[in-house]
Amino acid sequence: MTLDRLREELARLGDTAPVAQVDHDTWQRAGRARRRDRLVVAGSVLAVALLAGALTWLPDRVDPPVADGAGGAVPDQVWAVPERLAERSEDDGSWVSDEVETDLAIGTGALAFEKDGLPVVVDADDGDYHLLELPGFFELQADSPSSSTGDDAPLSLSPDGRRLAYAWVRFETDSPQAAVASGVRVVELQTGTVREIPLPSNGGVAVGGFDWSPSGDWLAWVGDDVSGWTGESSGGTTPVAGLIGPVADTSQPLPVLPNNASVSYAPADDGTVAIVGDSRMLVVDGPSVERRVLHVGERFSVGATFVGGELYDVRTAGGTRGYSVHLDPTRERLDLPDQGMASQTVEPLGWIDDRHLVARVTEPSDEEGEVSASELAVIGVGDDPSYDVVGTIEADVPPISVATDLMSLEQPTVERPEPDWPWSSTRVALTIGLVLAAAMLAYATTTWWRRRAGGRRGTTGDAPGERRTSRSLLLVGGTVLGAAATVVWLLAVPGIAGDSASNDDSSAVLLTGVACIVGLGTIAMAVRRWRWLGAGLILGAVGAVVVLLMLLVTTVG
Amino acid sequence: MSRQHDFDAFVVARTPALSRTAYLLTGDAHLAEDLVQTALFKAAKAWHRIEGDPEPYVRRILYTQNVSWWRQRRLQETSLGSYDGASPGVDADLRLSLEQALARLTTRQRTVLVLRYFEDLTEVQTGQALGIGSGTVKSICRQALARLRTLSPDLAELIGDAS
Repeated sequence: MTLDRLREELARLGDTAPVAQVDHDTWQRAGRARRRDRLVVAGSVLAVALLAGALTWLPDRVDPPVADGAGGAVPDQVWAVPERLAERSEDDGSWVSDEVETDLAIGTGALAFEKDGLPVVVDADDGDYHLLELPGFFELQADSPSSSTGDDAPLSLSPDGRRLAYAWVRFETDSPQAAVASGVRVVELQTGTVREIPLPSNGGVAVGGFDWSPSGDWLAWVGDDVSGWTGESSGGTTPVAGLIGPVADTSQPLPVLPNNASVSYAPADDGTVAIVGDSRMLVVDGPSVERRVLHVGERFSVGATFVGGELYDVRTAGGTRGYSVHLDPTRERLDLPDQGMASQTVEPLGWIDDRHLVARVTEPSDEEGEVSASELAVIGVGDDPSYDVVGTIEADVPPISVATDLMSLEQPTVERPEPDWPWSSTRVALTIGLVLAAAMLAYATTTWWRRRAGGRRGTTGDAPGERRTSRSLLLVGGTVLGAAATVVWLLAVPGIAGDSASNDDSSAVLLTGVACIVGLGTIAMAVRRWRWLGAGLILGAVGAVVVLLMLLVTTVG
Repeated sequence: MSRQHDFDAFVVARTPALSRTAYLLTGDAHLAEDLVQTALFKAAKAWHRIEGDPEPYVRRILYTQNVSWWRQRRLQETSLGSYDGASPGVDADLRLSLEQALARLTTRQRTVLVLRYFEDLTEVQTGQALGIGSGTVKSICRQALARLRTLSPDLAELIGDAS
């Protein structure tokens, strides 16, 4: 076998090999390396666990709680909608955002409001924010003709959350005589069908506010009959009001109370309507009108509704003199806690039972005019007054209507995930840019490291000095990178995400960013070659956060 | 302590044999020393996990580490250059010629040849040591021998036509 000669030659060649010198401290070095590896593994596990914990802790992002109770529930946090989602195209006035839906069959609504003309209904089942394109929705702008309806909005959710009433208007340009068609539309949110109630008028009716009967069958509206209304301009206005029956497509007119500071309309489930003014009230039952004189002192109605067949009228004396509830016909007076909530603004939203009022409560704006977030509160009135904050309404949220039938004393509200608004284009661009920059940096570092490593192995001598240099270089580089990324993220993102609704939202985003950097560092630490870079990343990120926090504390202090 | 004693005894006893294999695998005295040191360092790290004879474990590190170093080295061409630089010498000596020819094989080819004809492992054992199939071992071996023949006709009589 000729291969035997190859064997012999190989053996001979092998015998010429010098015997390798093995360092005496090999065993000790190996022991140290083993301990270090264990530390890195333990550290990585810990870091991953921390990261996972932090992610879970981030408000509602990861694991949205599921509401129990059939028929949905009211969320405990009402988020503002970013302005960019309410932008319209300049050509045809259509909504720019893809989030706006045309399908109105959303199920049950928990609350509704209007953001810059964009109707928003929050889903009672999952807390989703539905931005709805309501056909002909009349947006109550500052320059539009409107009555002194105060905090009313041109759309309103029924107490059971199944119906949404809104004002609509259509300007016909080709017919100057019947220039404007307008009225009320009621959306059945289960089916998406729309009931239209046109309101005959001289020049068009700008409906500015709604009041539902407790069952949601009867709907009273108030507004202005506008003469010479073209959409751009309007003439004089005359206050009007009306009542819409359960399935009716017409409205029967209701009297208005001129010369009153405030007027509340409260339809009952039997079709009677109480119209509450400053010192008198009318009870309208079909054609018959009963007049009553109120003995309430110098107090103005801020919201009246029927609770169990009795009229509950929330009144205030204005200023800081607090609120009270006046019952009719028993003439009983129920007090609110805390001297009638004297220092706050209370907007009644509905009643859970005959002693518990749901209201949006807002602190008066501070000296700098900064409006604080409102509380969604359940206020116990009468002999056993109480005040429970069951939710938060962000300061930017306009007047809301709430499906108070979905609230109970046991479960007034439920926790819901924060709406996941699409990122603004600037933010998307910046993120892509940052990621690209990071990738390029990583690529450059890899190439550099490989060259170094190759060069080192190519040299004959043992070069511990160089090794240490590359480690410290990696550590310093990682620290600089981590700190820079953290600072850029923390300083740049709030500026860009400034319109992204809320502080909580941006702090969650900020935390996620920092957690990502730390997580990246942790992953890098698990890889032997990158552990110094990983350590540097974590060090830099944490250091930057600490320094920024210290700066913040010093500035605030 | 007894573990350290075992390790030290193993180092004293087996370093010459490991050095020979490492030299054949790398074709360079310095790289061979690096390779042996690395393999023993890794073995010491995992010593508590090794049951029975540590030699197969250490040898396996030797073989695989060499391949992975070669992968890292691909970026730089200095080592190949040094082999090429040495080749123009008159290869009257058969031993030198074999050494040069080995240097021109791929690391995998050289490793398989060393395992098969220096360590005298079977194809199956070689495959197990390198984590590849015995069929692959066979084909790599055939390629390596063919390459040796092409590279150095002088070696033809050394290897013969059989393969």
